[in-house]
Amino acid sequence: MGSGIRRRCRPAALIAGLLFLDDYAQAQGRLDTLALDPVSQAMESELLRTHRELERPGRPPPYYVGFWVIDFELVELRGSLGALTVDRRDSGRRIKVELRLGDHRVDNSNFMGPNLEFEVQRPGDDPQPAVQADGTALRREFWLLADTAYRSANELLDQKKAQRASEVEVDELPADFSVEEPRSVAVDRHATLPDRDVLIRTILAASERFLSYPAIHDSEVAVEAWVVRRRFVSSEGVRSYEPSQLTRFSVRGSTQAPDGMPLSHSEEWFGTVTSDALLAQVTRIGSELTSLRDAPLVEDYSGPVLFEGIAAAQITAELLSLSLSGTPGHDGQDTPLARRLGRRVLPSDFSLFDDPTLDSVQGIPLFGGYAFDDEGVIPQRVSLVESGRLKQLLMSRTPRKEFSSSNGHGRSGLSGWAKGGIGNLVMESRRGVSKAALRRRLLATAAEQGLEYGVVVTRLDTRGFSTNGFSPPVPQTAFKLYPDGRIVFVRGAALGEMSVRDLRDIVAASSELSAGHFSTTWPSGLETPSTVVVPSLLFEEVEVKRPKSAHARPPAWPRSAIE
Amino acid sequence: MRLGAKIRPTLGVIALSLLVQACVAAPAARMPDERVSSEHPQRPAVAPSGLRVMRSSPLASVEPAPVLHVLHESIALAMAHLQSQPDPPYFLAYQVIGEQQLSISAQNGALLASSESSARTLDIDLRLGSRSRDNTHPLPGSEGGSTFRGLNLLPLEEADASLRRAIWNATNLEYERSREDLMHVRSSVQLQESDAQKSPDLSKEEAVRFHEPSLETVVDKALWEGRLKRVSQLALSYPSIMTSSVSLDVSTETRYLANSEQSSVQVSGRQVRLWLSAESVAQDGLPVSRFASIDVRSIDALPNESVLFARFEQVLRDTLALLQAPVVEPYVGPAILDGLAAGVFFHEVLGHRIEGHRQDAKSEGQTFASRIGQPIMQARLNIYDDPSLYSVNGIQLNGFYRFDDQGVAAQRAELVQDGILRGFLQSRRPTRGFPHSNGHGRRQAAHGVVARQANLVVEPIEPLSREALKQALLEEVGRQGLRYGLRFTEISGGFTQTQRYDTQAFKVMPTMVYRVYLDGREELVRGVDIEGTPLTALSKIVAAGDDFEVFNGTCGAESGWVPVSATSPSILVSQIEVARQEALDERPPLLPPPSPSPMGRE
Repeated sequence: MGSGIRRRCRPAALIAGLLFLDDYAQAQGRLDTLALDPVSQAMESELLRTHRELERPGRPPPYYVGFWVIDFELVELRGSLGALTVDRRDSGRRIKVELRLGDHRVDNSNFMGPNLEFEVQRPGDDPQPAVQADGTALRREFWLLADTAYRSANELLDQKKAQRASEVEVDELPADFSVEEPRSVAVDRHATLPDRDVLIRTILAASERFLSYPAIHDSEVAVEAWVVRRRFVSSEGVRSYEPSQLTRFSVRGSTQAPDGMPLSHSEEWFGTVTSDALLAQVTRIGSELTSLRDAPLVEDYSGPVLFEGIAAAQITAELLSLSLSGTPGHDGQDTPLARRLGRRVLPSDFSLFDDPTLDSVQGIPLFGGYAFDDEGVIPQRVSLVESGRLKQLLMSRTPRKEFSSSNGHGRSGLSGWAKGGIGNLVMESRRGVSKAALRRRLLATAAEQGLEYGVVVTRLDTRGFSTNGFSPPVPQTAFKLYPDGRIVFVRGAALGEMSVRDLRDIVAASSELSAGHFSTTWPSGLETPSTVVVPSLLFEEVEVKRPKSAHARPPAWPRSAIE
Repeated sequence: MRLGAKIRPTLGVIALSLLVQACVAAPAARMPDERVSSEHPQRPAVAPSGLRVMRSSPLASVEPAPVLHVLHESIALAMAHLQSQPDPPYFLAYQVIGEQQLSISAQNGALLASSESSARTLDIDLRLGSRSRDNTHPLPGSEGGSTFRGLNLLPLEEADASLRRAIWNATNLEYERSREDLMHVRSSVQLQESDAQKSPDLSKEEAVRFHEPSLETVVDKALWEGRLKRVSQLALSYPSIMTSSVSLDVSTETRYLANSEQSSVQVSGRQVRLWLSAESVAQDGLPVSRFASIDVRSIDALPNESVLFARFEQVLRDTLALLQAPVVEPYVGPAILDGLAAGVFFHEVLGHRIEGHRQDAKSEGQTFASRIGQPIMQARLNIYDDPSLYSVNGIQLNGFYRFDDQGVAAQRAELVQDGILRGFLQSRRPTRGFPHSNGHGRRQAAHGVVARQANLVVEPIEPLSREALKQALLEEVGRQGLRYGLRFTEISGGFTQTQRYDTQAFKVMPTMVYRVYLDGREELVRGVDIEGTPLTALSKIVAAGDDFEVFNGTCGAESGWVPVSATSPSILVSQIEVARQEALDERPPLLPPPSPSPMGRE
C-alpha cells in the first residue's frame, strides 16, 4: 500500500497514565485542559473512591475500575419530495462503569452469568461548567452505578468460582483480563454539528428531484449528524478524551414493477456530501429504480458472480466483520474463522488488515477510526491475513491461548463486555486486475461452466451488521453480462447461502478498491461506524434465486389519478 | 408492519395501565382558568354534589388548513378509483396528527436530557364490505392486542405534492391490507354461525364541520433548562435520596380529520406536564418513591420557581418520611380512599370494563356486558365520563377534547346512576343496545381507534363530610374488631386485566398510606399494593365524601397512550385487601454519597 495510506492526525498528547492529579497536571497540551475540566475531575475523584474504598466485609475492593462518560448531540432531518418530514434534535450523556473483582487470572468477566447491562442514562453535559463546577451530580451517578456493578460482580465471581471448582480443567484456561501498559490519549479535534440550515437545504433540494420520477411511489432523503465526546478514566491511570463528528446521508426510494413486485433502493454516504453530489446520486437512483421496474425477472442461476464496487465491500462485511474477533465466547466457543488460525482463508495473493489509525486508503476516506477502543486501549494496525493465511485476530483485553494482549480492537458500545471488532478493514490482492479484465474473467469462468452469461451484482441492501450471524443480503442492482458485452438488468434476485469459506474460492479481484461504510448499532442506541475497503471480487460459484413466493398486487388506485 | 399481530402472542395478557399523577388541590395545581385564553372556558356550573365543573365554548371557526382540502380531495379520488375493485370501500377516513414535542429533564442540578421533535402522521380508516360486517370485524382470538398499525410520516409543512403522494401510497398499502383482513373475516364468519347476532362494525353518525385555530408552542428552552436545573439541585441537600428528577414535557397537537361522509374537523390542544420525583431504598431493601406532577394546558399556567421549589421539597420530604415508615402488615379491613386514590380505583375497576368494544368481544371477561339496568354497587353514586369538561374545581382536566378521533362530538356518557349501570363508553363500533358513538373513540397516532375514558367523574348522591367519613371508618374498624383502618391518599398508578383468560383482577399502587387508629391518630406506612376483583371491590363501597380530587394522567391500552383524568370524592370501603409490595433485592449503597452537602437538612 505504502504511499496510498494517510495516518490520522497525531493526538496532541500520548503519555503513560498517572493516577494523581498533581502528576497529571504535568502532562502536555490537551490533557492539561482535561484535568481542569469538572467532568474529568468528577470522574477521577469518584473512581479513586470506588477503587480504594468500595468493599463489603470480607471482600476486597475491585482490582480494576473503568469509568466512561459519553456525551452526544445529534440532529436528524428527513425529507420527501421537497418537504421536511422529520426534524429532531437531541443531546444527552451516557455513563458506563466497568468493574472487575478478583485478579487478572480469574475475575467476574467471561462467564455466562446474569446478563450484565451497565448502561444507564445519566445527567447530560452541562453547557455551563461554572454552574455545576463540582460535578456532584455526575459523581452521584457514578457512585450509584459502581455500587450496582460491585454487587453484581461479587455475585458473578462467586458463581463462576463455584462452577470452576466443580469442573475438571482439560486445558489451562487463558487469563480473564490482559495486562496492558496504561497509555492515555487526548485528541485535539474540533467537533461540531454541521450547519442545520445547510443540511435542510441540501436534503430538501435532493428529495425534490424525485418529483421528476413519477414511477417511484415513496422516497426519502435524510441526514443524521452526531457529535460524540468520549471520556475514559481507569484505575490503571489511563485518562483519555476523544471528540468526533460523523454525518450520514441516506437516500431511499421504492416502487412496484407493473406485475406488483416491490422494488426498493437505498444508499448511504458518510462524511461531507455536497448538495450537487447528493442531487446527482438521487438522479442516478431515480433513473435506476425507474428502469428496474421494466427489467425482466431473474432466472435461477448457479455460477460465477462478480461483486463489483460497493457490493464487494458489502458482502465482505457480511461474511467477515464478526468472524475476525479473537475474543472467545463466554462458553469458550470461537468463531469459525478463529479456529483456522495459521491456515488459508483467502486466496494466496490476498492480504487483509484492520487499522483504526488510518484516515484514508488510496484516497478513499475511512470512518472507522478511533483514538482508543471501548476498553481504553490505543488501537494498532493488525495484519490479519498475509498471503491468504490467517495470522492474527482482532483482540480486546480478553486474552486467548494464542494472543495474550489486546491490539486495541475491543468494541462494546455502551453495554456488556468488549469483544474484538473491526474499525477500518482493508483487503487487497497482489494480482488485482482492471475492471474490464475482471468482467472478461467472469465471462470466461461462466463459459467454462457452460453458462451463457455471468451475473454482476453492484449493490446489496444497505444495512448494519447483523450481530446474529449471516443472513444473505438481497441484491438491489444486478445484471446479466453476455459475452458480446450486452448488459441486462434483472430484478427479484436473491442470494443463496454463503459462508466465510466461500472467500477461499475467490477467482480474481480488481486492483481498484471500493469502500462500504457501516455502523453497528448497539443495544444502547449509539452507533459505531466502520469502513470496509476491498477490491471487486469474483466468486467461483454463488447461487442466485428467482423469487418463488407471491407478491403484492399493483396499486389499486393508480398513480396517474393524482397527477 | 402489523405490530399488533406480532405483539399479541408474546404479550399474553393485556394489562391496561395507567400512569397517574396526583393533581391535588394544592395552589400549584389550581390554575385560574382565565389564564388559558386560547380555549374559552365558560362560567362554572355547580353540580348538586358541590362539584364545580366548567366547559369550554367553541372557538371562533377558522378557515380549514390546506391539509384538510388535500385530505378531502384524496378521499374523493380514492373512493372513485377503488370503486372498480372487487371489494370497493364503503367508508374512508383520514386523520392527520401534527405534534410538536419538547422535553427537558434535570437531576441533581445538571441537565439530564433536552430534546425537541416534531412529526405529522397519517392514520387511515378504510372500510370494505358493509357497515354490518367489514374488514375491521374482530376475529376470535385477535381482540385485545395493540392496534398499532405503523407510522405514516407526512411533511411537516403544507407541501402539496409530497402530501398527495404520501397519502396515495399509504392508501394503496392500506387497501391491500384491508382486502386481506376482509378475506379473513369472511372465511372466519362462515365458520362462526354464533356470530350472526353481533352488532354492526360502524355506526351511522351525522357529518360534522368544525375548524379551530392551530396552537403553536413557543417555549423559552434556555429559561426552563436553567429553572429545572436549579430546582433539581435541591435533591443534593437530601443525601438519603438516591435518585430524583425534575422534568418538563410540552406537547402541542393539531388533529385534522376528514371522512367520506363529509365530516371535516380541525382541533388543536396542548399539554404541559411538569414532573417532580424522588426515589430511594429503605434499609430492608424495599424501594420507596414519591412524585408530584402539574398538568396544565399552557406553559404560562405553570407555577413560578418558588412554588416549584416548595413542591419538590415536599416530594423529597415525603420520600424521607417513607424511608422511616414501618412496613405494612397484610390487612383485610375497612379503608378510606382519598379522592386521588379513589379516582385511580374507579378508572381501573370500572372505567376499563365499560369500554364499549369489550362488551361483545369473545375474549373479554365482559364483567358488565349484561348488567345494564342492574345495580353494580350499593353506594349511591353517579358516574359519568365527559370529555367536554374543561376543568373541575378550577383544575384543568387532561381528558378534555371537543371531537374524538372519529370526528364525533365529545358527549357526556352516563355510566352509572345511583349505583345502576346505564351505559358504556362508545366509539363508532356499536355495542348491543347502543347503536351510536358517544364521542369516546380515541387513539394515539399510528393506532386504530377504540373506546377510551377521557374525564371520568364520580359524584355521590348523599355525600358525607370528611369528618363523618372518618368517623364511619372508625366505627367500621370497631365493628370488625380491628386495631386500625387504612387511608390511601396518593397513588402512582394501576393496571387491570380484562381478558377472559386472565384473572379478572386489578392492582393499584399507592404511594402514601396511613394507618388510622381508633383514637383518630394517623401513621404513615409503606410497602402496600391494593389488589382485588372488580365486582367485589365495587360492592364494598359504603359511603363517599364531599371532597373532590382530580388526578391527571396518561392511560395506555390497545389504541396507545391517551391523556385522561378521573375526579372522585373520598370513598369508604368496608373491606379492602392489601398485599405486601413485592420486595426487590435492593439495598442502600455500600459507600456514603460523594461529598455530603454542607447544607444537609436531614
